Formats: sequence, structure tokens, C-alpha cells
Amino acid sequence: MRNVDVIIVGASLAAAAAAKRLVDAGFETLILERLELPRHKICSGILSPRGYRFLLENFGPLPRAALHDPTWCRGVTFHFPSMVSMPMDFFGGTTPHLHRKYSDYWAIQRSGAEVHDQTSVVALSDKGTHVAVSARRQGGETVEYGARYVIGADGPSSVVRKAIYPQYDKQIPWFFVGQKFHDIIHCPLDHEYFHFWFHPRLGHYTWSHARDGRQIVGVGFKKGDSFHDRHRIVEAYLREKHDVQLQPAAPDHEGCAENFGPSLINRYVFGRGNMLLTGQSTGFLNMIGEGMSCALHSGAIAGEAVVESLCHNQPVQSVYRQMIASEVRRTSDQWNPLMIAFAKPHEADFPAALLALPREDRIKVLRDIWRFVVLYKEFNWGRQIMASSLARLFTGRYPPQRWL
Amino acid sequence: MPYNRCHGCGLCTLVCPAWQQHGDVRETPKGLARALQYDGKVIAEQAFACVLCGACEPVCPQQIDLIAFMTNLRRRAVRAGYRPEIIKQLRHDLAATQFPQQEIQPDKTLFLPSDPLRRDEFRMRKVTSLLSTQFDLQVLDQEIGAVSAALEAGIDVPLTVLNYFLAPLRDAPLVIVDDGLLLDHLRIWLPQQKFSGLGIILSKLRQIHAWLKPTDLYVIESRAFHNQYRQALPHYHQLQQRTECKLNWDLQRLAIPTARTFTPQVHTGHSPDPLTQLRWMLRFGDVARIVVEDMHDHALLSTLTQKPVIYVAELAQI
Amino acid sequence: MEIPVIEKGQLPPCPVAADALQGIPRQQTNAGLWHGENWRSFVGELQAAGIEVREDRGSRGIYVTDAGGLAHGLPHGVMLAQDAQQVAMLMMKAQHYRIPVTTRGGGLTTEGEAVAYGGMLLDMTGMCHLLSVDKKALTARVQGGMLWHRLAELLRIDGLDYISAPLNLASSVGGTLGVGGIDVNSARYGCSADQALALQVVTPTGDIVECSDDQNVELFQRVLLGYGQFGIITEATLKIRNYTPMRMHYFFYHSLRAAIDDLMMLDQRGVCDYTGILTLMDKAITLLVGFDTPEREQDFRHIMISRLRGCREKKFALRLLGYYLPRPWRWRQLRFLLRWKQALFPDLLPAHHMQKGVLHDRSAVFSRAVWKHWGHKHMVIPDLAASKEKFITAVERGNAVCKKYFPYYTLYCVGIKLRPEHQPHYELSAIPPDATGWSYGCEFEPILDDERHYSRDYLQSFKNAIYDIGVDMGTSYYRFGGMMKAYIRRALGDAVVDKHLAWKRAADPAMILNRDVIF
Repeated sequence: MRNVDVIIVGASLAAAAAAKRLVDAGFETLILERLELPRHKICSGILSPRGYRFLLENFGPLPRAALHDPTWCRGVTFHFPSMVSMPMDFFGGTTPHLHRKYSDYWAIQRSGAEVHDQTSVVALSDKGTHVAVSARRQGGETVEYGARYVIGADGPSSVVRKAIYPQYDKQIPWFFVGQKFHDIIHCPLDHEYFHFWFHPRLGHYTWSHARDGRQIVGVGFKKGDSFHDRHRIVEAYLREKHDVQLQPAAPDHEGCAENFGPSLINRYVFGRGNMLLTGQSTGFLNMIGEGMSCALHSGAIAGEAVVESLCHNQPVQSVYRQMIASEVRRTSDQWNPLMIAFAKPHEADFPAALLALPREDRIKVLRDIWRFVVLYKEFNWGRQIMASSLARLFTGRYPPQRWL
Repeated sequence: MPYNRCHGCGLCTLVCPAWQQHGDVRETPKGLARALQYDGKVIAEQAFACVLCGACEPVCPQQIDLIAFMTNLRRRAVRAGYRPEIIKQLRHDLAATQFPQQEIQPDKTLFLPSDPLRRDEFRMRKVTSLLSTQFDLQVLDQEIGAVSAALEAGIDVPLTVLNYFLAPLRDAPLVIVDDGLLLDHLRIWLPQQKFSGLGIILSKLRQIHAWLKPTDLYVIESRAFHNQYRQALPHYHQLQQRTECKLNWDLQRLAIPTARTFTPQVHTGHSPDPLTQLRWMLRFGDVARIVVEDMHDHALLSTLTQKPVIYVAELAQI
Repeated sequence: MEIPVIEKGQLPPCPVAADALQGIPRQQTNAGLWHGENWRSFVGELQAAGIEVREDRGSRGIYVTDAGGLAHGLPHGVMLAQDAQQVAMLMMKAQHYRIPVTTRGGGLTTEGEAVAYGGMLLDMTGMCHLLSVDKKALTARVQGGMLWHRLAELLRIDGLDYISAPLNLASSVGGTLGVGGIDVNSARYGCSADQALALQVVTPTGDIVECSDDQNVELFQRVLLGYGQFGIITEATLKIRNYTPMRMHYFFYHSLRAAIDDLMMLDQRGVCDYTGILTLMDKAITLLVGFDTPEREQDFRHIMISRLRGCREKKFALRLLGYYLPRPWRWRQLRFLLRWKQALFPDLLPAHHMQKGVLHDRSAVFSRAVWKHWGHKHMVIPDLAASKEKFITAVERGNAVCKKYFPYYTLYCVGIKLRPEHQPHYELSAIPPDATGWSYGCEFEPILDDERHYSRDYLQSFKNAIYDIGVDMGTSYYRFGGMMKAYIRRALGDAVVDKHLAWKRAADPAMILNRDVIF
């Protein structure tokens, strides 16, 4: 049985950030990854400037291998059913288009932590003074580990979260997000931008951008619908309305289940006892902000909380929750209509782009956004968002009562 | 506050006699606390370098109980088998301590003299008559040396011994203690009880401070001084203003310790050297006479200097 | 996957895009750990030479972070500096085996400059002796690891005092000379580094060299305000002065602008020996003035007091009340102001340091007050140093940033008299190149407490927002430590940085001494 200071489950960007903090402070840190590294990861790969800054400051300049082509992204373009398009540049310059398979691997290596890949965690039990972790290696061999703390950085369907809150997955709405890759015949969509459609008929989350000579067509919808049907609708819409002519999708399409609901109504799971959750497993999947920078920052904060706890005997859970409050505030601000209207919570200037439109277009856009938002009505999020927006206005923070 | 609140600001190193003499941060509260935070192991050699003078406690911005921290470190080292022969001897001394049955009058101020004072009939008489001018006094006829030595060496005082020891103290309105380390522990053991060091009480008496001269070096007993720093600080400042005598304090108004200990045997080569401490106290020159508050200091300084060393009570012309 | 190796100080080509993150050079500021190549043979040689290298986890853990508490790193080994020969031996061997060496004095840096990301940590506080004092010429020769508080204690024996030093007691002479050092009398005497007359330096290649304005001038210019890049200061000859107690006065202001105007006016006229501004938010602004002699104080009373726009305590209290009464939603802030005033002011004029109305041992008094009221596991004190003309705008912009990030904070402004003849020293330092006569520094200090935890990134973002003002306005920074690597090129420009980098490469071929501070 191997005993270490901290075990991080999942070799993700959140894991790399947490590991960096822990290894720097001299703690023995082990990352357990289910797949073989470098591993594949479904993601748009479009990083925000803030996330890029974090990568640079903590892991150094990105190697070319960690990037897709085009290697950069200039900003986001919003498209509306009324055929108004709004391109918006990121504040402060272009950002990298990460090849998640290699960028994550690079960050993990640069963190300096030890990695055991092809090792799936099968059981976790908190013994009070430490956490016992059993895992299965490729080939079926069972390995036992002990760690003073465990950090779950293993994505939306987190093993660590299941161990702490077995009921949680059943209590939240799940979405399916999938992308297909098409060879391009003709594509007028600007390859320097990430394109997003506010269109209720297309789905809850519809996007497209260029990657490695192909065009990605992505759809997100409530779990239960058919990926291929949904994708066909979007593909046809792009062809009709935007003159995007694509070859049939290549066979390497991909998709996964996502939990982006809880973050926008500010309902997070941060862990219990000696186990912390971070990144997407916490609920930091911020689809109109950007998920990777949330993962990086929340991962780093989880690492810091553990360092505080190991060195200064502070209660890890409350320290983590206090330190993460700024990150919650930032991501929730991005959903807060009052903040969007007045405080520029995003890394591109939506209000300015809106004001730059002719008056009639502006009205169309607002009407289209409203129709799109109505799509989410069934989840009853509107009232919850308004309630927390008001709390933010008067108390300056989001109420932590909804955190687990 | 516990030691893990230490963030390493290093103010304790500046006033630590061990650091001032050796310049090794590992011998200071900061070094020991930070090392322990990261490692969880006690470095016995360094933990026993400290003379428990207590100067670090008032300066700690985190308000960590540093004396308790240091004595705890020693207890851990002793439990792990540090210097077993000497520890055995000290335990034996502690077990051999007598607790005479003495009738305690509940309304009287209790005086707990140190062993050398108790044995010194002449000075003891002086002290008690001085105290009697202020207090309705009763002297506790009790050896305390073995207990102090045990505390300093990091030996757990057995509960039975402790009960015997504390029983007579509980009812007194005030206990005057002639031992700074004991004073520190008594405040922890009996948090409701009122205690005071002897030095501060004596030096407040007009019969004493009236005779202090500008050429005197008045050596404050550092452990008691730092233990009751808040009350002691204005008092000694006033004393200095009034008499213009020299005090053994530094720029921060912390007492420079004589570096004497009850148990030199358990200390390591890392402990600060008393002669260097004395030179540091005498750094301003122009000292004709040394006045000490503590009989142990009296004995120590008398061997280190040719200058006359007198006990504070001897100043009184009665 | 191959990760290209980037040599220290080098900016690699950016694979993202030419305008990726405009203005931010592609540098890793939160350094990666060094992996320990050749460590064992290196230690073996040192041990053979009779040098103790501490490798146990506890001894290394003492140095894991600095006063800033944002950067963490565990050295492979620790060496307590004993003398110049031993340090020279260390540097010679380290150069040969390419072992990173990080020097540390009091450890009061805020951006991890005194944190070793692996390699050897050289604890200079082992060298803490006063070597000689020349009472006639008013100079003192001290070892590099001397801490200012200890120096003050030792000089006081002869009725002397240092001239200016950072108000924290625990920083070292060597470290301060490497970065500047300001005090409330810097407007009169310049920064601490300006007080150095000669240095003994151990170069990165292990030579022991004496340097001053007459001898090895270039090295002298590099090492002073050189962020520890060009050598280790093992001894320094400092200008000192006769000890005097201090006579203090406070004036209170509502407006930053008025207070700063008055501060500059006083500095220009040279009527005060100590001047500085200390604020609580932008609500209670205190101008502190002090004097060494009763004559100077009298002159000030006669000529200057009536010209100051600030008021005394009682009048200010009334005006404050006038501001807060109609604003009940700000009463919490008012309560905070009152609580702070009650706690802080007695500590700035403590009875046990007063003799006949004058304050003795100001350094001990101020420093303990600083630690007591501002001390925290994170010392977050970004600052801006600007020419007189730009200063007010810089402070106001910084103030707005503070407001955005923290409910309670302090601004601390001091002037720094510039020495025209020291211009070569200032080049890489925080003295803004456009400043003449005086440069002004403002520290932006959130008031943190132990009960509320901020993430490191939040604190770093705050600092970055302040530094960004500096880049934007063309001001500079004046702090305990060096500048953050990512900012030095933006602040000083590639030409200056590359010039110094070339010198650094020549002086330290293996690039091992204090890596990751600015290069």
C-alpha cells in the first residue's frame, strides 16, 4: 500500500493546477488516471485570456504540440435566428486553441506530480485521518493507496463525487454535448472565431469552429434526445442560412454527458471530510464563460486549501469554500443579467457589441435572446438566477447556502 | 494560538538570545514551528537550546503561546527518549518533593518563594517584611525547585503531585510567585486564580526604588516579565524614568535574559551563553552595581562579574 | 510529447499568435521546480570542504514560502552562511554543477524572490555581525545577513543609528541594498541602497570582490538595486548617523490629492525630517511629519503649520461625522475606522517609548505596529513608484483598484530623494526614469485578517491590476522584492532588460544565482 500526502483523481487541467500547488509546497502528490496518457478529451479547446494567463504563469509557454490549428482564437461570434451576427474580440488579444490531449498532458508533466495512468479508482473511504483509495490497474490488478487528502478532478461524472454524494447525479438535469467533424467544401464562418447560435430550434448549446482543416459542428441538448438527429438539424441550418457546405461527418464524432446546470444557479459540490472536488466535478462547467479557466483556478484553490490544511492545520473544507468564493462570484457574475448589463463580467464586451448594432438589430437580438432563454424554462432556473442576482447586488456575494 | 498559526514573520528570531548568539534560525520559535509544520518531527537538539526567557511571546503578531509550544516540544522529545539518565534523575527529584501539611488562611496573600530564597534566611526575612507592608501575607513553606526543573526539562508532572502542589493555592486572593516559569504554568493550571511575579511587586515599593541609582543595572527576571508583559511594561518604564537606572531591556522594551536555567544538564551546546548575555546587558558601560530580582540570577551573575551584585530586597534600608 | 527546454531569461517564440495576450511576455512567473541534476556530487564536494548542508525536511520546510505567501518551493538543501569564503566556495561549486542558489535574508519578499524552487537555499542571516564602526566618519561595516533591527541595537551602544531602513525590523541589509528600501525619512536621505558606500560581493562564479564608487565601479552599480542577480552581498559599508529621538505630528485629510500636494510641498522645502502618508481607505488620510530636533520642530510650527490643508484630530472627527451621518449604509465602514484608530494610534505613540514628549526607537515602534496591524500570512503590498507629476493619478487609479478588490485597505505614500550620481544604480530598479528630484512611492495594502481566506490567484490578480496601472502610465514599482518577471519587460522595455540580461549571462554563465526573480 502506497501512502502519500495527496491523491488527485483524474489527469485533467484542474488536476495539474492542484498538483502544481502541492508539489511546489513539497508535498508528495500522486495523480491517478483511468486512461493511458496522453488521453483524449472532448472539448472546444478555446481558452479564455484568463485561463491562458494562468497556464503561462504556472506552467510556462505552451509547446506547439499542445495546440490545434488554427492555433489561436480571436473571439466569439454570436448568431441569432434573425440573422444578426455579433463578433466580439477577447480583451487583451488572441488565446490558444488547445489540443486537450496534449495540453493536459503537458500541464500534468509540468506540475511535477507523479502519475499512475491506466488506474481506475473503484472505491474511496474516508477514515478520518486519511482516505483509503482502491484502484484497479489495466489488466485487473487491484492497488491500494492511502492519502491524507483526495482531490476529485475527474470531470462531470466524477467517481469521487459519487463516493461522497451518491444521490447528487439524480438530482440535477443532465445535458448531452456532442461534436462532429466535417471536411470543408466551403465555409464563410470566420475561422478566427468561436461561433455560437442563440436558436431555440437548434438546441440548448450550438456551436461551430474550425479545427485542423475541418469544421466542428457541435450540439448540446437535454439528455434523452438523439445526437445524430440534432446534429442533422444544425448541419442543415448552417447550410441554408450561412452557406456552410460540408462533407458528411467523419466517423470520429464524439460526445459526453455534462452537468452545466448547477453552476448557473450557483449550486456547487465542494467535498466533504478529507475529500475535495474541483473543476467540472464541482459544477464549474461554465458554458457561457469558459470551463477550462474555471478548472484551472478551482484546481489551484483546492491545492492551496490542502496546503493550508497540511501546514497550518486549518479545516480544509471551510478554507476551500472561503477561497473559492471569488471564483464562484466570477463565474456566477457571467450569468447574472445585472452584471452582464453593467459590469463586463465576460472576457469580451457583449454590451459594447450590442450597442454597436443598428437600433432595429438590437431589438431583434434582445428578442431572440429572450426566446432562447425560454428554452430553459422547464428547469425553473430563471427565478433562482434572479434571486441570486439580487443577493449579489445587496450583499456583494452569492449566498453559499446552496453549496454542498 | 497554536504553533501552526506561525507564518514565519521572524519577529521572534530578532529577540531570541539563542539566535542573537548563534544566528541559526532552527534554534528559534520560528524555525522550530515552521519545521514542525512541514515535518512533524521534533529536533531535540534545537528544542533544548531555548532558555524559555519568553521574549518571543509578546512580539508574536499571531499571539502564539510560544512558551507552551517550546515546553510541549520538549515533552515530546523526552517521551521519545531524550537524555534518559538525566530525565530519570529529575523525575526522581520530583517524586521526592515533600508537600508539608500547612494550614492555609483563605484571606491571606500567599507567597511562594524560590528555593534559594527560602534557604537564605536573611534575604527571606527582608522579602517577607517588605511584602507584609503591603499585603496580609502568608508564606507557603514548599519546595518548588524540582517542579520547576521538571517543567523546564519537559517532564510531565504527575497528576497526584500536581494536585498536592496546587491544593493550597486555590483559595488565596493573590499568589506571589518567585519563579517565572512556574508563574506561566500556574496561569494555565489555575486560570481563575490571580498571580503575580515577585520582582514587579518588590520594585513597586518605595522602600526599594527610592534607592536605585542611575549607575545601577536593574536586571529584570525575564520569564516573569514577559509572562505579565502588559502590566510589567508601564511599571518598569516608570521605574526607569523615575530612577534613571539602567534596565536589561532592548529597543523593543523586552528583557534580556541572563540565560540561566534550572537544568543545565539537559541543555545542549546550542544554549546561549550567560557571559555573553551579561556583556550585552552591560553594553552601555557606566554600571557600578547590579541589582537582580531573582536569587538564581544572583548566584549566576555573582560568578560572572567583579561588580557588586545585590538582591533587590537588599536595597530596602530596613 | 516533447516539451522544448527554455533557457532562463529567454523568451521563446509564441506558438499561439503574434498578438496572444497583448503585453504579457510569455514567461512562467510561478517557477517550476528544479529537478536535482548533479545534486549529490555537489553536496559531496561541499561536505568534503567541511560545509554543512541541511537536507532534512524540517530544516528545508522553514523556507518554503516568503512573506508574500503566494509562491511556494522547497529547496533541496539549506546552507547557513558563515563567512565570505564559504559562500564563495558554494558559488564556485554551484557554477560548476549548475545548481540553482537562492539567497535569503529576512525572507520578506512578496513575489517569491526569496523562495528556492529546488536547489540550494543560502540563509544569509547566519552572517549577522557588526564588523566595525567609525564614529568620526559615521560609517559602519556590517555583514550582509545583518538584520536592521539588530543593527539598530548594536549601533545604539555608541549613540548611533542607521539612516533609513524598511519598517519591518526583520529584513536584512544585503537584501534591502539589492532592492532599495524606503523609510519615512527617504524623502530627505534617499533609499536604503543610497546609504551604501562600499560592498564586499561574492560573484556568481565565486570570487570575493570589494567594490565601491572608486573600485570595481561597474560591479557596484550592478549589485546595488540589482535584485541579487550579480552577486551576493557579504559585507557592506553603510553611512550612519547620530541617534535622535523623534517628534511626531499628525494631520488629517479628506482628499488624497490635498494630502499628496502637502506631502510634496513639505519634501520640496525640506522642512521636515520624516514625512509620509498613511490612510485607511480613502476616507481617513493621515499625513505624518516628524523632526529630529526641537529647533526644526519649532521652525515648522512657526512657518508651515498654517499652510497645511490638513486638520487636527478633533476637527477631522467632526468632518468625518458630517460625511457619515447622512450615509447610514456606510456606518459599518465608520465603525471600522473608529476601531482601527483606537487600536492603531496608541501603538504609534506608545507610552513606554516616550520620554519627555518625544518618541524613542521609532524603528521598533513603527515596525511592531506594522506587524501587529498589517501582518498576515499574505503580505500583499503591490506598489507604484512615479514621478511627482504622475503620482497623484497613479494613486487615484490604484485606490480604485483597491476598492474593487477589498473592503478595507491602506495606502502608504513616501517620497524618495533621488541622487543624480546614482543614476546608473537606478537603471534596472524601480526608480522611474522620468523622475527628477524625488520619486514617489505608494503601497496599496489590503487589510486582511486570518478569519477570511483569499485564494492566491485573487491576491495575485489584485497585484496585477495595480502593476497594470504602472505599465499603462509608464510608472515603476518600488517594493521589498524584485519585480515580477512578467512585468519587468513591460515596465522597463526590452532594451534595458536585454542589456542587463547580457551582463547577467557574462557574470553568471550557468544562470544559477537567484533564478526566476527577474530573468
